[in-house]
Amino acid sequence: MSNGISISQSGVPVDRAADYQKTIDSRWKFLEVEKEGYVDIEIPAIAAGGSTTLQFSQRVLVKAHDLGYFPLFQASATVIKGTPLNAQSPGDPVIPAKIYADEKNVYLFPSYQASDGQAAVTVRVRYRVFAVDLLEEYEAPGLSPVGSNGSASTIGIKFLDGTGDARIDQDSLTGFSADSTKKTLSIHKITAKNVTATDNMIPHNVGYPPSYMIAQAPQTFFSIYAPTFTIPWRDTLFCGPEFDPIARVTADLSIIKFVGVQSVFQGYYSFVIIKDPMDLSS
Amino acid sequence: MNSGILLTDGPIDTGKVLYDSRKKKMTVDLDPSMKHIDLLPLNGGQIKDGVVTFQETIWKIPHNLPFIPLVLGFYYVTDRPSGITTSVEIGTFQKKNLWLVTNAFGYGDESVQLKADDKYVWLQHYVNGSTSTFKGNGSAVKFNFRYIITNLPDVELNDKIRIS
Repeated sequence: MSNGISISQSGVPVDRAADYQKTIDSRWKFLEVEKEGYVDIEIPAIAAGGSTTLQFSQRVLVKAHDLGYFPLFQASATVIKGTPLNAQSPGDPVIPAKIYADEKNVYLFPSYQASDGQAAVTVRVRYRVFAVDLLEEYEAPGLSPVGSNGSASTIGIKFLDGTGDARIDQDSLTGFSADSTKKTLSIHKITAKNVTATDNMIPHNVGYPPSYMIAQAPQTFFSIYAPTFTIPWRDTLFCGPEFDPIARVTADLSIIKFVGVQSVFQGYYSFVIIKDPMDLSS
Repeated sequence: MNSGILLTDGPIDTGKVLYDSRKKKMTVDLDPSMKHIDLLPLNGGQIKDGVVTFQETIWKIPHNLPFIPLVLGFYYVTDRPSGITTSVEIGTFQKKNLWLVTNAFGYGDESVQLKADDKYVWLQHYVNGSTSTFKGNGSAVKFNFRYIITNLPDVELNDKIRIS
């Protein structure tokens, strides 16, 4: 595409702006929120008796996103009423449940030990789904890793996103989908990789050590359980939420590398590389 | 909302949407007085050895947002003396939590963790020594901490997220 629009941060000349100094650039993707909120889910009581091994035998719909692809998403689950299911420590408010998504919905998978039984609990699941396809294999065209210092300027743009009480003639921290007085985080690269002990480098070529987000790429999470477990969606593909890896991470101008600390860091992950240098104070 | 801007690759009604102003984007305020983005040289805090349970705040800042914000935090380790027990190496950069001593059963662990509530963002240093031979690292580990306080509420402990 040869036509488009590019808007830099206020005070930064658009022809000398670095990629990370752009507020809008029609060539790129941005970390755009598709859906967010929270849902209170009542999980019914479970009678005692059965296997002593944890069984993921419930799948509860949290929210439909209807994006048609596996999205980058963030989520958490907290018990707000009742006694936590298999709490890992007394008073632990977070249940040992998994939250996964497919191409249509976000789900909660509560876990429990069937031999113990469980009283009914109410769980609050908080979620944010980004309009980012974890399997897209995307790299932003154009590359300007080095920009220019901004200067004080009153020239710029603001677009309201329709949330909150922000007004176009006011300076607000929230409520704008575009505001050239602020930094808008754009995506440089999306890639999925089967990381192993010997193949653990993600090329990004953005020109500086970048910010990143990581999620478990679509896979069959429940196929590792014995066939005797009653898990109807055993062969269904789900993706995991964005998380912070426990790994020794190194990065330079062109690659990010993940090495395990106490165990090998390996698995099928999607990486979202953000146009945002780690070595700048702005 | 009925007004805004829509950019498409192709006809406006059928083309692929490149930009939609109705969709919230992850942004960061650049007002220097807000300090929502910065790069700080820090170290891991006090050195504590032996059987110990200890925590301290090594950095703190008000965020002035009406919710608990989503904070992206990265640690770039710049120095750590040789001969100390640590899981970090010079040149590594970790996200959100920095493990100065990775949890080892019967030995202990030490970490710097990124925290946020409805008023502040801060770094908390934790030391959990399980044996008299436990050696903490604290200030012996130096790092650059780069953080971004975004305009989005954190999903971990936040109900102030407008449902969409």
